[in-house]
Amino acid sequence: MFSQHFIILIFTLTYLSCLSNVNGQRLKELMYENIDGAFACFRRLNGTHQFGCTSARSGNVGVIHIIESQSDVDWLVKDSLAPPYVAVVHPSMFTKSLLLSLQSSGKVNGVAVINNGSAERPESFSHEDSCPNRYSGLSLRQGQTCGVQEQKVWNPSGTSILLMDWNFPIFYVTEQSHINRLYDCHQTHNVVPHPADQLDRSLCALELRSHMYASVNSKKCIQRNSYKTLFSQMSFCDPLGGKNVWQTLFPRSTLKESSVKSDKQVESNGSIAVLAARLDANSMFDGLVPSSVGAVTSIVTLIATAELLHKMIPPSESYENNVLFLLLSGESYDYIGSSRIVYDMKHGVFPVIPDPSVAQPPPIGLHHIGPFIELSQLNKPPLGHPLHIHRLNASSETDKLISYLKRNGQYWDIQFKDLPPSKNLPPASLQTFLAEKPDIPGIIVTEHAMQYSNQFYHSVLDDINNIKFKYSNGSRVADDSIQLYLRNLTNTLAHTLYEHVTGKPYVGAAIADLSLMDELLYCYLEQSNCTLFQSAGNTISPAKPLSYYVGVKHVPGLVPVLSGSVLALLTGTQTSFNETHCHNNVSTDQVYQYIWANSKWNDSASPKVCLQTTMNFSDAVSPAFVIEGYNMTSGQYSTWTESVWPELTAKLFVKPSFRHELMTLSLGVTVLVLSFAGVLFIKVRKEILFSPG
Amino acid sequence: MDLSKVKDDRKLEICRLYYKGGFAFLPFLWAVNFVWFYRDAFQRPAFEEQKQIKRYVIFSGIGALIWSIALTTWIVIFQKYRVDWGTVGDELTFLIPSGSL
Amino acid sequence: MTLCEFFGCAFIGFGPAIAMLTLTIAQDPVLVIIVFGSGFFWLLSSLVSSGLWLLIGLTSMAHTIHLVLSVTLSVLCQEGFRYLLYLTMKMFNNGLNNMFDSNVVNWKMMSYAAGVGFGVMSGVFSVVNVLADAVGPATVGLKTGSDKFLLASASLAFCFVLLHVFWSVIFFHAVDTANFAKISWVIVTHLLASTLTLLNTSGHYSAVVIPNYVIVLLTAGIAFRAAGGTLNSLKSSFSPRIVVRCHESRSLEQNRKIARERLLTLLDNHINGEDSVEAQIKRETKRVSDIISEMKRERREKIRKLKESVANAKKTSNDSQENS
Repeated sequence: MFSQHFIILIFTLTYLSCLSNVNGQRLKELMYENIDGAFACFRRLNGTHQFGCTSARSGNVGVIHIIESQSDVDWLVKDSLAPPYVAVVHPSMFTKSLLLSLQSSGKVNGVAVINNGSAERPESFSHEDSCPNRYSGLSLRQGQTCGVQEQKVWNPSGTSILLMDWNFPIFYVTEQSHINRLYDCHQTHNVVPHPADQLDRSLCALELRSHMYASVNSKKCIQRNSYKTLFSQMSFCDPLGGKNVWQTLFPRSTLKESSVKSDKQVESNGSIAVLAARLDANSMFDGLVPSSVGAVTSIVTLIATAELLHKMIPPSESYENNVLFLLLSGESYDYIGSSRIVYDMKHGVFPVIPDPSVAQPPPIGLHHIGPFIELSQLNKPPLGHPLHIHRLNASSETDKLISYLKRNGQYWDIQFKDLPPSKNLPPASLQTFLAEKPDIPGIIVTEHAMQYSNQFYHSVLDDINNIKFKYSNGSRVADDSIQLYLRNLTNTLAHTLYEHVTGKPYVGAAIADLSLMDELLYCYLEQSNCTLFQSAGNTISPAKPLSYYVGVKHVPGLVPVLSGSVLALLTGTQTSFNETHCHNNVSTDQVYQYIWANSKWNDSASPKVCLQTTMNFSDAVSPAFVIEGYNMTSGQYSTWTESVWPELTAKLFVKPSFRHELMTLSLGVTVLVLSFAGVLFIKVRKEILFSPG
Repeated sequence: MDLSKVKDDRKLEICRLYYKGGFAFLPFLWAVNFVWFYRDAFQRPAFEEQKQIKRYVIFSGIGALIWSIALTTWIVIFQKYRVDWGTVGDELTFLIPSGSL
Repeated sequence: MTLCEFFGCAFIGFGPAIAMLTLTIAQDPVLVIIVFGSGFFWLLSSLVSSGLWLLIGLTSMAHTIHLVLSVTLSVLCQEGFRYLLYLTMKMFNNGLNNMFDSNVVNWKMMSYAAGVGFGVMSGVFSVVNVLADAVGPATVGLKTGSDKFLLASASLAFCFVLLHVFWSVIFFHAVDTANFAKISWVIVTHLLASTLTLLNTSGHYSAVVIPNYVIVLLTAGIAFRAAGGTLNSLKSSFSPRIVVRCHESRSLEQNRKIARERLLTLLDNHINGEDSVEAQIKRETKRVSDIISEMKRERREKIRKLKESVANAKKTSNDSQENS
């Protein structure tokens, strides 16, 4: 007995010495690795269909298979034996034909696109329709023109992946560490000489969770939103929408005599020129919608032009004509913002619903609109190439506008080429206005001619690299830079609009600030917590590029708010109100807005002042969701909605092989049966086994 | 309660109560009544209250049967045609399945 | 881990416990109460040891030493509570048996039930975390460890359920007989087995599981001895058995008599076979009845012949009358 104890003691000591790598970590952390910060494709719906991706309620699980060449695809589709799989692909392989073959194979439960940014960019990468907004705008009045007969399509690289209904989730992984983990895990667990070998081993797998509540179409899910059950009201989808930003060069007069503040506030009979640009873009993945060419270049040019025009026209001067700056939201989704403005103008409630008790600007109607310039898909064209001007009809007014532009452009080395008037206009907000009132003298200024030169239209790759922007941060800006080009375009536009307002060419010396253009591009493309945005009173945005997805109507996106406050900061006039007064003014005065911002745009430490501005916001919610009993299948207005989802997560883990599972289960059942047999045996023979006593 | 120890007059009372209770859209009560008193109604030698109990048991059984047929039919029809009914189908649904029709 | 693995591991860990509970415990209310009571005592012990663990955590010591120390203390706590359980059961032994006028429950059975309660509770606490974390599509093996981890955990739970049963049986017997060697065997093997489990996360599964099974086997042997088993009884339990049941009479004495007679007959049959009393009687009876039936047959034959001859005689006499 004693020797036995001694042996045990030695045993114990040996094992205690081995305990060096003991740890008390929770098992779950050892089993799963969350792929944080992955971007997911989600479901969007219109009046008739559903688009995008969804997973099963509890997520889709699939064995990782990395696709780097066509042979990998063939292996997956034909030879693989351990479905379901999750295909991990590079952007260059992420094509419609690949997705279709994966979907039809029935073996694929999900797709993860990996791109660490440094890899080679594919030739083209656009998941939008080849004719964006194919069924809205002018096509409502005159039928489709894009891609019909001889006409070329606007977006030749468009694959329409975005406008299809995929029955598996698609995620986009950008973080290098996660991509490395995917590769390592695949290499250690999944790489086998023969497909059958995968059956015998535990395999590295991904769980993609992006379950979408909405289904069928917007009509169905909006209806379902309104059902209340005994316990809860569930939300299935939300209409897309946000805020439009608008600003007039001069304040427009009020209807209320008592609040007349200056002689400028008398309603004029002059025409209102419009300078418009879109605020939003699109991509497949939630939270990752960069849009350099798609939106940013136009936005910054518009803001800089507004700033320059305010500098060019001294406060003492007053004119009949006015300029309306419009930044429109939701234009990627059948022109939500512009169609709402046109709808409001028709009903006399733009920019605000008339209310005699408050100081208000008078309504603007479609008939007020004079020249209309829309900036769209701007970029620095190759050396010696012009910008292109598109228009629906030739008219004396558009001719005049074009001649102003061409003349002013000469000074700033900007060339314009006016294309022959055509019904086949590029996708633009102007189409919505023209559809309602075809004689508006409108032009669209684009970099491309009859086809987009941007190969990454509405995709995650329309990012900062797409316009080769380099932040100068106060130092000298290069001569061939995008900043300089857009600065020159700003000068051209401002001088043209000046001529419209005053009726004479500009002779002053004011020109657009190159450092402002540099800062604007930096803020919109790289860091949304930049000095300019902070000076404009914004403290909430994180240090990463903005996402230009329009969002849903009750959660206004960041982009309109930031753009509006920057416009206000750059063009507002200082007042002597203190902070409380500044905020209180909002309720009593609708002619002006008051914002509390820094006195200098390039110094977020400068003293704060109350700025008076004509900048304001208007709802960019499709009339389809305003009109009572609107027929969602009529196609007249945008009916886009976004599904509600509970979570978008991706997890990496090792999935046990079927044989391993079966073995465990059968082992368990065997143990159970043997236990019963053993206990029964002992029970029956206990008198013999254990002598009484 | 141990039914075998209950006196016959009390049994009749209980049986009647369950029979009446079933009219309050409680078919399950009828089914229970039928099962509980089946032996008393049909298999025991005759006793004073047996005739009445038998009547209640038979009616309870028929009621439960009709209810179960009706419910089964409705459930089958509802599951099969809910999607086809569109809006009406949704309005009749208590928990709308997420992400599908 | 998937549902398959979940049930597999659960069955491995708790197969013996389920079998013991359903086959030996569930029928007897006293044993059920003891199982619950001992489970409660195990929980109390873990409450106390968790308090100690917190206290140790206040001091600054190396993580490893901290863990080992708390495991040791926890084992000592459990054994302390096993002793308390012993005292409590001794106190209430008679009361329990009187309460349920059931036939007297064996003290050994009670010590066994106490062990089952301890075992089930500690088994549940050792793997329930693992099983809960593991309900999902994954198995262990992404970062460290391998897919054997869950199997190893389940096997350990299996060991501990059995060990606790054995330990309780040994412990109760040892306290009854004041056998300190056996008590220290229980404590030392408990310490050893518990510290071994600490290695489970490091991936040396065979180094954990195999020694544990050795401990289980050794302890099982000692427990068997403590419960009154011998090598002989083990052997004889595998030999064929003769079972006699008798409920003919309401008197125990009478039943015993009848049973003894039956047993005698069965034994006689078993040992003597063809020559047993019963077989002989059967043979004799059969022989006699054969003879009788043979005789009967012969007699029937005679009567038939007689009848035939009589009929023939009548016929010939009739013929002769017509002729004449």
